[in-house]
Amino acid sequence: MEGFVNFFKNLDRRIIFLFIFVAVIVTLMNPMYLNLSVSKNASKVLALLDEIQPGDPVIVSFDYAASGEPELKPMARAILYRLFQRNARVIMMGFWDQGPSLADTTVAEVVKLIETHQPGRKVEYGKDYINLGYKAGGFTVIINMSKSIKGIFTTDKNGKPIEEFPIMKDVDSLKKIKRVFGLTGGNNGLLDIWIPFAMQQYGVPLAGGCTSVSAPQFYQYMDSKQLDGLLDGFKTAAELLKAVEYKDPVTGQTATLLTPEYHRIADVQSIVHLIIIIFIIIANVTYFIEKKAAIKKG
Amino acid sequence: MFLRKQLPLIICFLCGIFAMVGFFSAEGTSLNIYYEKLAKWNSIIAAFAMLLGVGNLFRVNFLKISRGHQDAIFSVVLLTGLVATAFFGITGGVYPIKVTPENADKITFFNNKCVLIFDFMIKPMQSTMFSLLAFFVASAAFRAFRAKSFEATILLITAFIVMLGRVPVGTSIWGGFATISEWILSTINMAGSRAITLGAAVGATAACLKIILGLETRYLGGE
Repeated sequence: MEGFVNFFKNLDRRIIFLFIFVAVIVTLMNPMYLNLSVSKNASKVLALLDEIQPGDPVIVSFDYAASGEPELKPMARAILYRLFQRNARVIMMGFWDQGPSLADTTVAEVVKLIETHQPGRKVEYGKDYINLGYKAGGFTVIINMSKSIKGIFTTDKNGKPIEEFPIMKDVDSLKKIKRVFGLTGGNNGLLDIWIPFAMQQYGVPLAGGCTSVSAPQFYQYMDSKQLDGLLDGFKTAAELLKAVEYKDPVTGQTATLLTPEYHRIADVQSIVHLIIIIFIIIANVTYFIEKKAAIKKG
Repeated sequence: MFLRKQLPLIICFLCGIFAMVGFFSAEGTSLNIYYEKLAKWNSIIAAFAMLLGVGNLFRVNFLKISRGHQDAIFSVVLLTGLVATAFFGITGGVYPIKVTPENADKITFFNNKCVLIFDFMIKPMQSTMFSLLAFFVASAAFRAFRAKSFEATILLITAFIVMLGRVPVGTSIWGGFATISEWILSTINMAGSRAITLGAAVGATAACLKIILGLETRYLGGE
């Protein structure tokens, strides 16, 4: 027993790292596709997306960098896809310098997807969506957007005057925006820019998504109705992907956006959590055995 | 002395008071209009702050290299990366360009290089750094999560439920994990988080008032 206690008491952390590494690799290679039930949070965001009417201008803010992409990109895919399904006018921007670049790649994939799923449909840049790019200044950008979006974003991401794009016709201020979906990877986003300024000061309806680690701080804003919906981490993102349905043009059957690639990641998350829990149990068993032995010794 | 101390204090006081009053002023009033102008200035200053940051980064790292500091190699890597990324970004544009028949002739060596830096260096490196969290969290949880006291036991049980409730496997074991986890997050966590936020906000307000009123002057340099 003493050997067991000593082994786990002085367990080299590289052994834990190895367990995590092997678990990730094995699960990626042999996914279980565990059942994902759509949670209240994911259903709420879907309902908010379904409130959008054709032609409604909607902002999707990409406030994250590559580090947050694994959790936030699936959210962006589901949101953009549903918005295009509903023929909304999608205005993308970002308070993180890498955000708009990541938006470019994500929207290109979604446009391709929607054009495949809806043969004959053409989603055009400048008409159906636009990327306004990155703007420094945080909340002051929102204050200026409340007066004039065209005043603060004079050009799109590629330097073309935004006046030239039909999507920006009659969208002259933040008040014309039907809803903002803020995807945030940390500070400078939903929490400290969109909620206190766009929603609180100018009353723009707000929903969004964040990484799992930052989720706990957002619940208070849901309760106060300053945030109408929240995708809190990868699990909810995967659930939203599952909830967004389309009719497969080849089979004619209803399918969802949840691809095996994303489903596999949800499995990996499950297994890693399980391994952490097993290690915590081992640590506590060791602790109690040690404590008991110490009491016995007096 | 006036330019170094009194003038910045006067500017800070006027801007601070004006921003505070402007925030609560009704839309369309002259106060609100100038408040929005002030916000525009802030955006410009924020852009200049980036230049200041880059300048400072150069100064600190050049000093390290010139003094032959033991970590000088890292400074060399940092400055090389900074100069190379900025060079390709400024000369070729910072965003990936999708090649289409219309813009094929505009794709140059420079903007392709920038795409390569972003897609094949920055993205994988940042993702790697974030992914390492999983390994460190596992190791830290193993060492720190012990039921040593009543509070620690509650923390441990809560962590168990939330960890299981937030992954599909937890729901597969027992559906209640997700429900209890959601309740913990939206009720207990929310109350604690709100208390912290309100406390921090009151603290931040006090700190801001001290700066506006000139009671806190460390931002001017010196003690």
